[in-house]
Order: sequence, then C-alpha cells, then structure tokens
Amino acid sequence: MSILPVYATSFFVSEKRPDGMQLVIRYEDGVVYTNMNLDSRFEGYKGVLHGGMVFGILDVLIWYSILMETRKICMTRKTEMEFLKPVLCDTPYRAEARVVAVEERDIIAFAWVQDAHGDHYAEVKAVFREAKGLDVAQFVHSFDFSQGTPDMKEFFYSLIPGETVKY
Amino acid sequence: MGRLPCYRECFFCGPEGDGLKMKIELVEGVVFCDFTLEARFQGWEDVAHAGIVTGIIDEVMWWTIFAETRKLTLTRKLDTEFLRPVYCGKPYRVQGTLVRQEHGNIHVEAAIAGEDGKAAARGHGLFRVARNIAPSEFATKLDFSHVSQEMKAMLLSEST
Repeated sequence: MSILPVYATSFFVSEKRPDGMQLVIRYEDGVVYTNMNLDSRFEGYKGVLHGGMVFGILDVLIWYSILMETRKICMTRKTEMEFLKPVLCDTPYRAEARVVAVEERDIIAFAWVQDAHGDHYAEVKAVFREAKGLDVAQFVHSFDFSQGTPDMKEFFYSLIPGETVKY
Repeated sequence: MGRLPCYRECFFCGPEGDGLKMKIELVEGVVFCDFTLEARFQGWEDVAHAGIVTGIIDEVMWWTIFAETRKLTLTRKLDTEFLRPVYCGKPYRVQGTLVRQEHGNIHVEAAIAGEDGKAAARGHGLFRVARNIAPSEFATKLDFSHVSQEMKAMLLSEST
C-alpha cells in the first residue's frame, strides 16, 4: 500500500491545513481510496456532511485515480452525483475511485462512499478532461511529498520528462 | 427583501468556523449570493476546488427551494458542469432557479457567473422533501441576526 503526495495547500488533503480535512489518500492494487471519519466542522445539517464536501472528497479521489491509471493531469468537466443516504459526521467510511474509460482527452471515472459493509452512501460519475498547456514540472514541484511514500514520489517525478526523483 | 438567514453550523453559509460564510439574498423573488473566494479554497493555482464550486451551487439550490416553498429538503441528485475556472480572489454571483415540483421531488438549477456574465459552472439538482427534519427544531438553528423582520416573519410563519 502506498500513500500519495498532496498538493501543498489543498483544503482536502494537506496535513498543513488545520482548517481542512487532512485526508490521507492511499493507492493499493490499482485502487485509489481514503478511509475517512470527518467531524462536524464540515456539516450541512446537524450531524450530516455537506453534499459539496462529499462531492469534493470524491472529486479528489477521481483526480488521483486518473493520474495513477493514465499518467494524465486532468480537470473536472462534468459530474453526476447521487446522494443515496446521509453521510454522517464522526462516522467511519471509505471513499474509493476507479477509472471507467478513456475517450481521447476525456476520462470517465466513478467514485463512491461506502460503509464497512460495502453499502454505498453517495456515488458520482464524472468526466474529466486532460489539462492543456500545463507546466508539468511546476505542477509536480508544487506537491508536498513529506506525507507520501517514496514510490509515489518516484511516480510523480517520472511524469516530468528528463527529471529524476530528488531525495 | 434582502438577506436570508443562515444555518449556524453549515460549512458554506454558517457565520462561524472556517467555512465560506456565504451571504445569501432573496431579492424580487431571486435567490443569489455574491462571493469572492479566499485562496484557501483553491484546488490548483488560484482556481477554486470543484468540491467548493459544487457546494456553493448545492447551497444556493437549497435556499432557492426554501425561499420559494418553505420546504426542508435534502439533495438527492446533483449534475454539475464546469465550464470555466472559478478563480479565488475574483467576484462571482451564484443564482438559483426553481424549475418544477413533482410531489416530493423538487427540480432546481443554479449557475455561477463572473462579472462578464459568462457562466463558469452550472448545475441541475433534484431535491427531496426531508421527512425526518422537524421544522421547529430546524428554525432554532437559523441565524436571523442580519435578516429583516419582514423576511423573518415570512420564513417562520410557514416553516414552523
């Protein structure tokens, strides 16, 4: 199991953001996931996580999933989100994402939140589009690798043509 | 009519904590919110994270329904299109429109536009009337401190 690095200022994943979620994103057997248990700071209604927060978590996981599967850096283009059951604060869940298809510049992915029994609470189908004109080196260098495992640092640096990982 | 109340503990519209503190208004039957995001809500290089964008749309959809119908609802489906980046530090308006009601299902749309009027993101939501939320209890969680007496009377008279 590997731990992915984080965009240094990310609200959702940076451990340097005490106001954020500080999610730890894991990669194992080709699957990107996080185990989460979020407090009431992120609620929309008493004890229930805000729908936008739930979506944001799944959006992050899809982004990583696409990167790991295709080596493409993408932006969210369209999403179809279903809220099946309330995702509660102070309750453990697992959120997971998988790439479904790659259609030229568009990547279709699916992500969901589930409980320990595998019951789904929220699902999203998303179309992401490859970012044009992105400076890949600048992008990779904006990540904080202190939270991730060394193999993931190597993977991220391998995205930069001609650059090798620096320890 | 001016400012709508906010749900005190909501990450998006609540007045305390580390959230967005959205100030949502109802004027001439239209629910909207003018906002400028801080850089701490970026996903990448001053571009707002898609989760924050979606949350803003979801929030205004909910208040659009509440202002028009006084019904307490929960999001069931939300389809969002991200047309252009929403930049932190730049002013935007998000505005909701109630589309139709079918029994307990309420369809609503919302869009975020910049000063040029071009849509940056838009969404279509399906909300369902919440059966397990007591209006009287919900009302105690609302902050009316910036709301006119006229607005407060209008909202409370039908939601409790």
